[in-house]
Amino acid sequence: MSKPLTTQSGEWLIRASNVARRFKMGDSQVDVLGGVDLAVREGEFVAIEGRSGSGKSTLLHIMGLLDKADAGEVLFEGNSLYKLPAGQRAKIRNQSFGFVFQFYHLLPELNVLENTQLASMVKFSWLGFKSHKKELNERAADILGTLGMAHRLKHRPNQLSGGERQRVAIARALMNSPRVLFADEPTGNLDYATSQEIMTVLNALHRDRKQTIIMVTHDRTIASQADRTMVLERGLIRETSSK
Amino acid sequence: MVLCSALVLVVLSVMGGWQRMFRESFRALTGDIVVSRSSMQGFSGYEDLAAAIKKLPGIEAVTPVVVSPGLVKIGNIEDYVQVMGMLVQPKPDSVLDPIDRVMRFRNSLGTQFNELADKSKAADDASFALRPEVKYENLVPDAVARAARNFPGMIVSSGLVGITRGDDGKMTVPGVLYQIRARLTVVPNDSDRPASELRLSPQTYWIVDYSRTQAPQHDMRNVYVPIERLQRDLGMTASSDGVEPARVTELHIKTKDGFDKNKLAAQVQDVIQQVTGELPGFGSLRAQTWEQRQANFLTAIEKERVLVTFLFSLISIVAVFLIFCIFYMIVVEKTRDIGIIKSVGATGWGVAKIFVGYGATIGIVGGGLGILVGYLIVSNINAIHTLMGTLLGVQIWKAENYFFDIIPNQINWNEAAVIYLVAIISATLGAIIPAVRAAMLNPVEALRFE
Repeated sequence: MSKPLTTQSGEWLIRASNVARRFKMGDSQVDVLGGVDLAVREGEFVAIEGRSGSGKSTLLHIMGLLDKADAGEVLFEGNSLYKLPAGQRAKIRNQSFGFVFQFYHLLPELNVLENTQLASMVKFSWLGFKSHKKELNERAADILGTLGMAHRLKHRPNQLSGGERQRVAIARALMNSPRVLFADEPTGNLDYATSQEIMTVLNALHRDRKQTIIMVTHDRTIASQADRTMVLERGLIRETSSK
Repeated sequence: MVLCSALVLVVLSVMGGWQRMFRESFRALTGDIVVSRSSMQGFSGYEDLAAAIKKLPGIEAVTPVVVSPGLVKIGNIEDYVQVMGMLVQPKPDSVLDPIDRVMRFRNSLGTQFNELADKSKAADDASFALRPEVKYENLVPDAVARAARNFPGMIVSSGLVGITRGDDGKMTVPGVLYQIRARLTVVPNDSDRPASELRLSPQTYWIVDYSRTQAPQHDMRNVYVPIERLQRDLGMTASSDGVEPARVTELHIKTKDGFDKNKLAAQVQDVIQQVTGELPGFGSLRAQTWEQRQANFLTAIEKERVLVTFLFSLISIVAVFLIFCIFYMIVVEKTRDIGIIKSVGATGWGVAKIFVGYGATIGIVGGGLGILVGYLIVSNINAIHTLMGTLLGVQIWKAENYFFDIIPNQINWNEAAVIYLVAIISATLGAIIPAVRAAMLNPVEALRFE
C-alpha cells in the first residue's frame, strides 16, 4: 500500500474523485452520476441524501466495490481501488468494508449467528472456519449481544422483525471489523420508531467505536443525524452541510 | 446419479458377464487353436502333423477330433445330431494327447465331474466308460449297470435329453437316463461310392453322462463318443493293407500360457504347409484360433454389449443435462443470495467453487451409492429375478433366449471404477456452466434480482 493521501482537513480514508456512471436504458443512455467528488475521513459519519433515482445508491456501490465507475476513481487508503486485481478488491470488500442494505439481504437458510459469520466464512477456508469456529462464535455472539440480539442467535431471518433483521445485517457488516461501513437506506424499510432504533445503533457505533460510516438515505431527518450531510441531485453533489 | 450409476453398472455387468459366459462355454469344446478342413472327409497324416506342431514352442498338447452328422435314437427321441468323436485314452506311444489336456470338456459333464457321488474322487478326465467311482449303481439297478459295461459309452448334450435347471437351481436329470441305450447311425465318408452302396450300420451305445457346456450350439444336438468307434463307423480308420491312412476332421491344440495365440496359429499354418505341402486356399487345412472360429457369434455379442452400453450411457448424458438444469435453476433462484455472498467479499471463483464442489460431491456420493446399489443388485440379480417372477409373474431372462439359465452376477471392478469416475466427471461438468454464470453475476444486479 502506498502512503495515504492527506489534505488540510486531515487524512482521507476513502475518496471518490470525479466518479461518473452511465446506464443504458433501452436505446438511450442515462447519466446517473456525472462526476461526483466525495472524501470521507477516518471515523466520520457521512450521509448522502437524495431522492429516488438521484444516484446515491450507485455512488455507494461504486465506493464499496460492488459496481464500477465509467470514469473517475475511488481511492481507499491512498490506493486506486479499481486498479487493483479482482481478488484484491474482493479481499478489501471482505475485510475492510461492511454493507448494510435496505432489504437486509440475510440468507434465509442460515440462522442469526450464521448470517453474522458470513463474511468470516468467506474470509477463511472451510477448514480455517472450522478451526476458528469457537472464537468466531464468541465474536458474533458478542456483536449480536451489543445490538440487543443475544436472545435470537438460533432464529432464522423469517422469525425476526424488520428491525431485528437490520440489526443482524449490521452485525454481519461489523463481523470483520470493517474500516468503512456502507449503509444503503438502512431505515428505508422500517417504521419510524424502528428507524430511530437503528439510527441509535449506528450513532453508537460511530460514537463509541469511531466507526467510519457512509450512509445514503432519502430521509432528511435520518440524514441529519450524521456528522456531515451531502445532497445528491441529478448525479452531482449540490449541497454539503456539517453539524 | 445413484440410479444412473447403478443402472449402467448392472447393464455392463450382466452384458459383460453374458459375454464372458459365452467365451467360457465355447472354450469347453475347443482347443486354443483348431486345425480343420471344410470337408467331412477330414485329413490323414494327423499324427505326423500333430508331432510337428508339438515341436513349436508354445504348444502344450494336441488332440484329434472327428465331427460328423448322425441320427440318434434315445428312448422315444429320434433326431439328427452332431457326433463328436473324442480321444480319451491315447496309446502309450502316441504323440497325441487326451481331450482333457486340450479342452475343458470334462467340466461340462454332469455326473462324472459335477455331481460325483463321492466328491473326493472327482474325475480327472472325461470317460466314455461307466466309471467305477461314479455310483451308477445308485442310479440304475445293478443288472443294468453291469449290462451297460458291454457297450461303448456315449455322452449326450443336456438339451437333447431335456435336462434343464429347475427353479431350485438344480439340474433335473431324468431318472432313466442311465438305463437307456442309444442307437447312433452315421454315414461313412466315402463320396466315391454310390449312395446305394453306402453301408449304414447303426451302433449301440450306453449313455454314461450328459454334457452341459452352456454354449447353445453344443448343448442342443451334440453327442460324444470315443473317437476310435466313430472313425470305424465313418470308415476313417486305416485300411488293413495300409493303403488308406486313418483320418480325423480336426486337431485341437492347447497353447502354453504367455504365448500369443494368433502368432502361434500362423506358425501352425506354416507347419501344415511344410508337412502336407498344402498351400492355403479353398478346401485346404486351416489353423484358426478358437476366437477366429467363433468370430461371428462373439462379434455379434460384443456389438450387442457395446450397443446396450451406449444406450444406457445416453441416460448418463440425460443425468448431466438434469444436473445442469437443476443447478441452473438454483443459480437463478439464488441470484440474490449469490449477490449477498459477493457483497461480503466472495470472489467469482469462490462462488463458482461452491457450485462445482456441490456438483462433484453429488458425483462422489451419488456415484458411490450407485456403485453400491449396482453391486447389491448384480450380486443378488438371480434372487431378484426369481422374486419378480414369483410376485409379478415377470420373467425377463429366459434361458431359451439368452442360452444361460442364470443371469451373470459378477462385477468387473475396473468397469465399476470407470463408471464411478465418469459419474464424478459428469456431475462436475453438469455444474460448470451454472457455476460460471454464478461467478460472473454482477453483485448489484444480483442483489436487485427479484
